[in-house]
Amino acid sequence: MNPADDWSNLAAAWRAQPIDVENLRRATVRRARRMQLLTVLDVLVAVVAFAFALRFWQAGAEFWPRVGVAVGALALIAAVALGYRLRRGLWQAAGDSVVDLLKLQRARCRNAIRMALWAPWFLPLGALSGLLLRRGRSPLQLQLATGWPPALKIALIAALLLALGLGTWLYVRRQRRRIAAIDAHLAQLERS
Amino acid sequence: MSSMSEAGAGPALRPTFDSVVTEHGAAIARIAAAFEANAARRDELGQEILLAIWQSLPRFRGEAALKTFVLRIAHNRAVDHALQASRDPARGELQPDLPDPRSGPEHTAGLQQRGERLARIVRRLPLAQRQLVTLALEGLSHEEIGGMLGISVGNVAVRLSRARKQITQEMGESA
Repeated sequence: MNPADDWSNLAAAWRAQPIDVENLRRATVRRARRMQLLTVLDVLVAVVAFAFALRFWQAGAEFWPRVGVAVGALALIAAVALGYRLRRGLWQAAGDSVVDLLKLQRARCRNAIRMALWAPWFLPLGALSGLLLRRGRSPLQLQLATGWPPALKIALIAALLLALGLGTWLYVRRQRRRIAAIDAHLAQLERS
Repeated sequence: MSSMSEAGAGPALRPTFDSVVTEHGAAIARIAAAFEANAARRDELGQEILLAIWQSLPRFRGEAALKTFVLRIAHNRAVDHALQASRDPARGELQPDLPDPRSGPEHTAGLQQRGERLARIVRRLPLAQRQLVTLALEGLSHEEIGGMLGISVGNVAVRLSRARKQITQEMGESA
């Protein structure tokens, strides 16, 4: 084989791979619709939660449950604002090269770690909100747990905290490994 | 979020999602095949790439060729996929190449068979080399590849020459 023709021969073979483009198009459209539906559901849940809190507030509930709703709403707003602030500048790469993209992905991974480490700080706020809602006769009170023995409740909370901690640790470890893989690939690109 | 058919709304010259799929769908699928051995995950990667292109189409200003724009996104997404897979050996390159269930008897002969064998060889290349080779096989010039990967044209030529030698040798040996 003439070396000068190698790429053209290889490219011809490359392009001869069996590809079902129509199937790819259909699957992508299905996936996009699913994503749109999930986004709509997300917004709907947030709107319903907000409407529910507003109605509860206006229904003349007692003082402390009202404070609980306010704390929960503030925590939610703070979480959204924090997420937005941390994501700022991470929407798209500074340039168009793969190196720029890899750097962006590395920044996103670091940001994901920061967000994962921030999340546990919202737990006390959520717990405070829940406790305040339980004061007085709140319609938001969880009826399910009222008859449970205290030891079971403590065990359940401990298990939840443990699962959350483990999940956070695994997630952070995964992101750190990803950063390491990106760094190794960047080094490979720079060496070559 | 606009619908898929509306992706081309706006400036008159902006391509539609359907036209991108028609013109470049096969190239996208081939790039996915170069970065993922498993047929099901390869399809998923192809869908991810198309979704990323669909979301990026409003940013297309026509400064570069549509093909370059599409391949850049496809390539970036595929590299990201490969980096994720590299963290998980069960998902990665160690997995044997399973035959594509869509391959009928007509697909198993001649050039197509050679194309599938080439894709398997490309998947075994180191990531940096694989990037170059897939773009070269899709017909991008050395300048375009260099611009996309952020390396010099001379560097592209040297590395492509090395890769070509290796691929040709492997194709010959496994033929």
